[in-house]
Amino acid sequence: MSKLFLKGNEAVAEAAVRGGCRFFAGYPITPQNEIPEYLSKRLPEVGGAFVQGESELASINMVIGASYIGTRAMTSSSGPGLSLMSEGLSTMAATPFPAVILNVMRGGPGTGAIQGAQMDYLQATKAPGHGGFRLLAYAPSTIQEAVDLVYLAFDKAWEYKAPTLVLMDGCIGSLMEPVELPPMKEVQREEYPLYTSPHLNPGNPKRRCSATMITNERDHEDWNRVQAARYATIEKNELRVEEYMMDDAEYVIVAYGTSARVAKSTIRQLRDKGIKVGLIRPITVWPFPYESLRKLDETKVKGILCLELSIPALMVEDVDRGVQGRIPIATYGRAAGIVFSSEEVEEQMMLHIEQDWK
Amino acid sequence: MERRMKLAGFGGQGVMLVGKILGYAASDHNKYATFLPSYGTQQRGGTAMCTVVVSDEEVGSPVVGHPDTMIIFNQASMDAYEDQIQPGGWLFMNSNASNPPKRTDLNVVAVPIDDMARDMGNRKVSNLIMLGAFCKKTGLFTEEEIIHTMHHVLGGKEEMMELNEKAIRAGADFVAAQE
Repeated sequence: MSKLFLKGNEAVAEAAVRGGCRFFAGYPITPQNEIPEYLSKRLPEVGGAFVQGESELASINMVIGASYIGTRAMTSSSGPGLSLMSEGLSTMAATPFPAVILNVMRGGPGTGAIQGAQMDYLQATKAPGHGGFRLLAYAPSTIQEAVDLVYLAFDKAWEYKAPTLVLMDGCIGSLMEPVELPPMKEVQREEYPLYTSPHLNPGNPKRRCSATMITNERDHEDWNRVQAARYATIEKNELRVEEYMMDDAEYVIVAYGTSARVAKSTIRQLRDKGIKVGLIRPITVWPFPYESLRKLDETKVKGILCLELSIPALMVEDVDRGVQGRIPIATYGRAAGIVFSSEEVEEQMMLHIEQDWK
Repeated sequence: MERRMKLAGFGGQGVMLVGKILGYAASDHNKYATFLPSYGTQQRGGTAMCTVVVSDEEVGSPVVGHPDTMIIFNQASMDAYEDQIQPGGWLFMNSNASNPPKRTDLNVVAVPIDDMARDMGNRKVSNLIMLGAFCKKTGLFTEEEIIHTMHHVLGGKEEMMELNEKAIRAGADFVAAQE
């Protein structure tokens, strides 16, 4: 029996350990509590450390500390917690040091709803913190994909030496599904020759310093350019998208995460009735798959539905940036923890088809 | 083939456990499955509901608007979910805790699971009696398959496991005797 029937939150926590995570700090918040609960037991078994911080701010700073000494580190939270961590995320992007950040999204804004939703799209893709930086952000749609992407996120974070985000939603966190876990990776604590210098701390060559602020303007600007080049590389190399039943599609749904898997059922239902619908599913929400939308043929595709567990629609601006006004776009969302069924999305699609997307 | 089910009752009736065992059984037999619990700001003793999809292909939506099969453990759930079932769908119900449905188009399998469990000496196993009845009627898993999965999911005192096994078989036998 190679597959286990696991809950999303527990599956990604185990995937993190297998991907080399040896330090976790976090503060409880629904709907991701099984992640710290699982890691509190699991990390000591593999020689790692688990800390329940006194706050999100403390937790992200502990993760920074662990990352500074080369340990593969992670934190997880939900929207309200991510907001509190945003100062630390900006620090990590500035220094820059790697870590994996898991956001199991819930309803918003504010304290919001404790059940799953997809309300943090803009935070994840446009402004995870102050000061203009980008995070490579994965948005899994099944538990297997969540496991695979968390595992991969550790490699990518350390490859680019930058915090990497996995944007789950509460529905995937609490769902159970058969999953195959990846092998346990042997990971050594990493040295950072590029970012540390014995000259900064001549008294003790083993201790390291890292600059959180560059006082010389030109140096700082150079540093900004280095970062921009890094973002361009990530955009070029790390984009992931699934195009499902797109070859002959006359209508297109754009959705990620739980919304996308609901959409797949809707598409099968509609195709059984002879209606040709396809799905564009961003697997990375940053970088965003603009090209998949740019290449749509407006003489063939009659309408697009942007589907999210969010009210208002948040991804629609990115969809339109790809479409450039050539094809009409409608939006549909539910929020506050209510998840649309495939039948409900089918009704929405039929409504728009009957009205010719007007 | 894809079976899209909802299970509902009140907290403590073992509704979630039955849903989970079905998910584990699917996983054990190389099928795809999702188990989605409905956890909200719910109260103790309130309604417990879960959605289970078992399929030969990768499951799309884990959320189901109109299940083809509904397993009902009490009256409140009957009132809340009867209307959602697909036309001509399957309804498994605890006849000790709910009146029959108002709809007439459903395939109803009514099992007095509370009485049967009491006769077996432990009211807690009523949910497994329902599981046995469901598997026998639908053929989704054989008795032996579901008992095998039950053992590895629950694994505990031998006495209790024997009773659990007996409960599953009692549910299956009840359905078989009606045919």
